[in-house]
Amino acid sequence: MKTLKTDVLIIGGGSAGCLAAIAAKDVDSSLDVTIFEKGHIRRSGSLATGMDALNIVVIPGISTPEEYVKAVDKYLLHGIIDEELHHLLAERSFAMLKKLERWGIEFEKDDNGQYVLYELFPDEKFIVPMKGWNLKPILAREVARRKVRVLNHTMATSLISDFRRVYGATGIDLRTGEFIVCLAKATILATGGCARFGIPPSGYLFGTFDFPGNAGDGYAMAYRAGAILAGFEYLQYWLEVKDLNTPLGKEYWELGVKYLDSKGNEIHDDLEYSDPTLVRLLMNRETVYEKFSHLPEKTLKKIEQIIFSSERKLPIIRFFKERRLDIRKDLIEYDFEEICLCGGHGATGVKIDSNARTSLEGLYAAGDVAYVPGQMLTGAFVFGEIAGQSAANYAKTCDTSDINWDFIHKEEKRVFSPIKRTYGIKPSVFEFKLRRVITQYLTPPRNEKKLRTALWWIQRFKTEDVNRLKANDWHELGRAIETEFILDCAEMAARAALERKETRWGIHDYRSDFPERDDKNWLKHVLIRIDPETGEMIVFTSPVKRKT
Amino acid sequence: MSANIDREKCNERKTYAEIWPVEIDREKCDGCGVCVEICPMDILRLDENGKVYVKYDECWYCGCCELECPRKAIKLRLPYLVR
Repeated sequence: MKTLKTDVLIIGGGSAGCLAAIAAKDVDSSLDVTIFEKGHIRRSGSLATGMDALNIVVIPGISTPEEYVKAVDKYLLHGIIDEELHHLLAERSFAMLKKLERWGIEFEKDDNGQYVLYELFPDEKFIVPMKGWNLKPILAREVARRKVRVLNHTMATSLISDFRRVYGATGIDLRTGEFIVCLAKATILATGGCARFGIPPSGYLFGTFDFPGNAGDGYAMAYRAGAILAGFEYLQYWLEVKDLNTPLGKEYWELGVKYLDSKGNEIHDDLEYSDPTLVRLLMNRETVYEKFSHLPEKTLKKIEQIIFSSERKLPIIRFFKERRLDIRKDLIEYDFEEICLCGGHGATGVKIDSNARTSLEGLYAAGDVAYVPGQMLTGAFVFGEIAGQSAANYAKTCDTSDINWDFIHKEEKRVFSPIKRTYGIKPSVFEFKLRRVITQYLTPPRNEKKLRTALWWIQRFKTEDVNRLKANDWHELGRAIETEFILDCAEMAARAALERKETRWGIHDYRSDFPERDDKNWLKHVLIRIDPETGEMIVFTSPVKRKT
Repeated sequence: MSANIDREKCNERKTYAEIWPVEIDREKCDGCGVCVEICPMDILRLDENGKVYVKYDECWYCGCCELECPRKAIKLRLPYLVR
């Protein structure tokens, strides 16, 4: 066992984590800042190969934070919003663009030197394209320049908590198997969402839209530590290129591309935000086809250039090659591929305030793990920065406290038990079974009976299967620990879905036994926390707060 | 290069290299280990000859290995199930 002491511990070195580390050091360079990174910080998280646009930018003189808040509420959140957080995001978005520019990211400008803007929502332009393929190496460089301690290939397993305050985290070095206890004055969760949730129809467990190293680690650790979480009834669920499970881009949507159903009828509605259309397609098990062949060659060339230079250009280029696809003659097939939990494009996360503080003292959260629904990459950057600043200021006011070593020893025993067993269940086989239960019983359309069946399975997995996992090496041990994170997320998703007795977001939460939106009873957040006495999951609600 | 290499297991993996998500040029690979270090899913390792191989079937097909390889010895193809 290795014990470390640090001022600010950041769990996850992706977009939000890097911004948090940089911001904490910029508050006071003498602070000791540590990052636990599951992969390697140069290429990690959902931003591993960069990003082709900053999706939410409110440029002064062009749009206002109020306009953005109104649009995100109308198209994405449907009344379940914390306006203060979204306002803050919008307010700080342009300064964030400028900061990225200073670090060497190039944003697209028109002939008059104005930033190019694309639609984020119908008729609402907040997207600024950028040449961001090297974004992650650049962030890693800024982190290194500030002398942050980065522990690569290190995965957090639990937060050290007394259900009131967090004192750091335990972790494991996935290459050596060393158990690490990191005592921190302030701890920031930046672990991303839960990408490994439903199984994509290809049957490939790691073919997910978001980075599959994100297994709901932060959601589960925050829950077990006593924090309040929200939005688990909302699933990230949308049309993706079949099997590839990544979008081709968005900037070419305005260039006359057509969308057809299987009968060849053109779909005119917005395929991201038109709830009735999406529900109809889902219920009819319709596939959607993207058609380009009617467009002139000049436009096709432009579209190809956009598609083959997007943030996931390599997989897209190879997919077109393997499937022998040519947009001049072929239709691109789209389907509802996989459900997952995410605070960036979805609406799931650890509840935070405008200082990125969670409900536990000393614990902060930012990025896909935090409850700022639909915050996208800009949110990860802005709240990463806020979390870094708040945590640094907090760390300066307190000392490392004594901790409960009984908990640490118990955690060490739990973490290593799959390695110590001689026989057991292979973690990948357990993960398949767990995720097929998630797929079958949590995917909309769902109902009370299905959700209760999910809970029956979850209970059985918790009491039997997870105590029989057998890992053969440190890598597989990491995957075994992750399955328990996924399992906790499944329980939170099932219980939250049972609580919300309405359908608010169409395909994202469709309840066939409550198919209508019910503003009279459900303009509320559905919240979750653990009962420290019994270990039971408590589900409760709070009314939506409007900005005053 | 890691000392604990299970030769038998490596060979079994290589039998099925056709379904790997990447193509590896074993002539060009000089075992520098950059891809092993940066792979976000941490699925690559070096074999007993110091050449990279795919140890775990957990590729996200991001292509970071291809982007980072200084000798262009590794190329993304896509996992067999996705191809």
